[in-house]
Amino acid sequence: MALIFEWIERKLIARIQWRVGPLLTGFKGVLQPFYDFAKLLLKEEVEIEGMNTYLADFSIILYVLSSVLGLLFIPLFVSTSLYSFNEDFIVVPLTFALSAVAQTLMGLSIQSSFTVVGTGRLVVQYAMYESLLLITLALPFMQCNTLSMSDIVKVQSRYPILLVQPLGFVVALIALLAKLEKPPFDLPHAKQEIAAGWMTEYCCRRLAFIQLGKDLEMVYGVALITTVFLGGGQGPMTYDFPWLYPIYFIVKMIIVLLLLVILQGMAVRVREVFMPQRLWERGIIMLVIQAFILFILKDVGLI
Amino acid sequence: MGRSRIEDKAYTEPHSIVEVASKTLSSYPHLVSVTAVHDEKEKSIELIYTFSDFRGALKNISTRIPEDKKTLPSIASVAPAASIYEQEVSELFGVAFDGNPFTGKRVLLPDCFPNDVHPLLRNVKQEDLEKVVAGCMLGEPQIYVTGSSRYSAESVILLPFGPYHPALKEPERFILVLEGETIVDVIPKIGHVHRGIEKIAEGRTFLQDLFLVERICGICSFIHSWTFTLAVEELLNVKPSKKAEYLRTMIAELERIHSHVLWIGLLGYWTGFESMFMWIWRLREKIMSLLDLLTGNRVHKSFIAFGGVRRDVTDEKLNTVAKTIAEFEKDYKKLIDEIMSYEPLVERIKGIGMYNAEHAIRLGAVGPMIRATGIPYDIRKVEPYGAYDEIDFNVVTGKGGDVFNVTMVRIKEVLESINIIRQCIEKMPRNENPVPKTLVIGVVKEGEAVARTEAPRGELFYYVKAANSRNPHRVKIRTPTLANILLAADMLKGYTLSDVPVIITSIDPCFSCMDRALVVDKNHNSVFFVDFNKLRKENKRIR
Repeated sequence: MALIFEWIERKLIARIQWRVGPLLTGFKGVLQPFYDFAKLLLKEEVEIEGMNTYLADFSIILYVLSSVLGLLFIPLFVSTSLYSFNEDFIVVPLTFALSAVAQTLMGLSIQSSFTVVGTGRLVVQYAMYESLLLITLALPFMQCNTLSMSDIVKVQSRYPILLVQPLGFVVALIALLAKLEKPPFDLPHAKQEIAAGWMTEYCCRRLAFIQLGKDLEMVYGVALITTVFLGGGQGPMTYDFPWLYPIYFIVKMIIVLLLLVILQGMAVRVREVFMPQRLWERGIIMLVIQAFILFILKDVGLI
Repeated sequence: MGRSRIEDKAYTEPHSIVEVASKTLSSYPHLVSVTAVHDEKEKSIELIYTFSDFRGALKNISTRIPEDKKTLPSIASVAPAASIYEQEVSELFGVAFDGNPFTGKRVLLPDCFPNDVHPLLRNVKQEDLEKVVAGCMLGEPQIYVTGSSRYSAESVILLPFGPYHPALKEPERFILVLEGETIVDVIPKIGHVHRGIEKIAEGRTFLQDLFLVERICGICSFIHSWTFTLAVEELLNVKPSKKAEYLRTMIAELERIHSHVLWIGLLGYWTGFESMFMWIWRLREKIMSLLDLLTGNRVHKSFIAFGGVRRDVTDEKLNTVAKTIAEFEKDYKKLIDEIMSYEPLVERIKGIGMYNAEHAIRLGAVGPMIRATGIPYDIRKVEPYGAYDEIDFNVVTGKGGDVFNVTMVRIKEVLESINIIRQCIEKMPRNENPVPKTLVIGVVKEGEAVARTEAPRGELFYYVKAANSRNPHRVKIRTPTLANILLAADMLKGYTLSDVPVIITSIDPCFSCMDRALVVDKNHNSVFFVDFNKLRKENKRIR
């Protein structure tokens, strides 16, 4: 699923750039990400002098698992996820922190100039997007007076929270781009400046799993936004036909992905010094307005 | 015009060169080049300093030093631009310049190159050089990452930008000294693809050299062969027909469009705006196919010949050019309007890499870099060659040096080139034969000539000396990038790491010349050169 999402993303971004994108492997190149993954797996592992291999391997596993852990608590197939508990929103900041720690450790397990600069940028970026992303995600939960993922899905059976919190949704998308290190926030691995940034020294199997981790992170982020703002797989007729739930969920995820790709396609990478300005000056103001509207609506008793 | 035979050289004594240079600089502020010529009969090296003003006048100052005592005061104190030209001479001829800031560093030749071999001296044979280079390639690999010991403090990071770096099209190394995200110093090292074209040119005939110099650059290949042709035609006293002049002008302008559009697309890539890169390069394909239609090849056109061009162009093809250019203009204007009104992109390049006109002149900048500061220095206008004197066009200038103005100059120059091509097609005499009777020229009489043209990247300078033989005695090439490199390194200081790709590449860098592939076989501890015939046998795709 993660790899198919990568294919959809690559295909869409190619369409925006007047290219064709992956074409040859499988139907319209759908197997290309699988092929890339397998090819990297088969390559001979290069041990770089000075690399802390245990730390690198551990952090890569942690990185992949952090997104998987997050996905476990998202109601993907029915409106209650398998491992759900009453306050399972608490897991979200944990997974964000875990993946950031894993990335930092990966960058620092071999200290070359590029990885050091890249990791420095990564940490700064994490400090900036995390607060934004968590606040945007917290607002819907405040609206519903709950901390549970399944509750927030059930609440949205009438209408999605997007209708009440459009500004929050926009900020969440932008902060998600920063989390996924996609343009315009691809500073930690801006190839024109610092080669591949924190993952410069990785190749082969390790790189394959880093790529997989990135794809999983994207799926997790998109699924989270879909659940919180678009009501998960809730839609017409889901009460009578529960098998519609995952279908709706995937369709909604693809719509969110499309929005992300359009944002990416238009993006010019921000200069490092503009990061706080871009993310905070605009993001925080939008969030304050959003919170204000929300509390007024709540006071009046409309929601 | 655009070319001249050197007849009136002002001779001076080596020790008074600084004085003479500083006097000359007051009326001729632009140092074009420092050319060294080795004369093995007289056992001396002649150094020619070429100065120019911004209205087209050239002044050559010549001095001679004996072969066994190769020292000379450096003029870098009065003309900072000279430092890199002098360093080139000092590495290739072994001349020591007192007071040159680069003294003791290697800029052009590989770090492993022996200190006592100076490749461009006439008594050094090309075969011996191959052995020297091969020997030094087998040595231990040099690791460049550490810079000078000045920066041993832990608060700074030395970031190697190149030789192989995703932002650069060609190998080139800048060591960036970073304090956080800010650049404190830049240590440049060029010459990673130095293949000794000047040396090879001395061993081949003039006709072979015409194809050799074209391969110096993969983007502006035609203008190199044209400049060489201008110099040789001056020595031969040949004048091409009118139609040939127009055809040459047209190809050169098409090449300028393709080079500038390539650069504008890459600007998108460097700023992380990959969609722009893809969109603009798609437009560029139209120009590439026009070049293919007119000359038979997209990159190395081999279109020019001494005294004309190699093939005629039919009226039908000219009509296709006119039609495609009109289409291109429409699409280009629309796309550029949209892109340049996009706030994030403009914010990224405006006010980045600021420099002023005075500074640019001192460091010897040429081309769009100097025009962006408002100085209308364009060889096409000040010293018209080809058909430029009969064509009505404007020199595009900017309002002050920074990346934004350089971009705008290039964008407008593309439109100006479209205008020139249109006029070329209108004014071209249709009933002439532009192809000369014979391509071979044989022995060229003794003489020296220089030629200057406006390549897409700026002023291109050639010096050719013939000595009654089939081969040139000396070919000196001064590419615009070498003139601009000092300015680029200087512009970086004080800006952040995010701006590096945009600033370095704002000069549109282009270092490339490759004559043959050098294969290093570490396992068998041997190095050998592959010539074209062997490559052809081994690789069936090359026919």
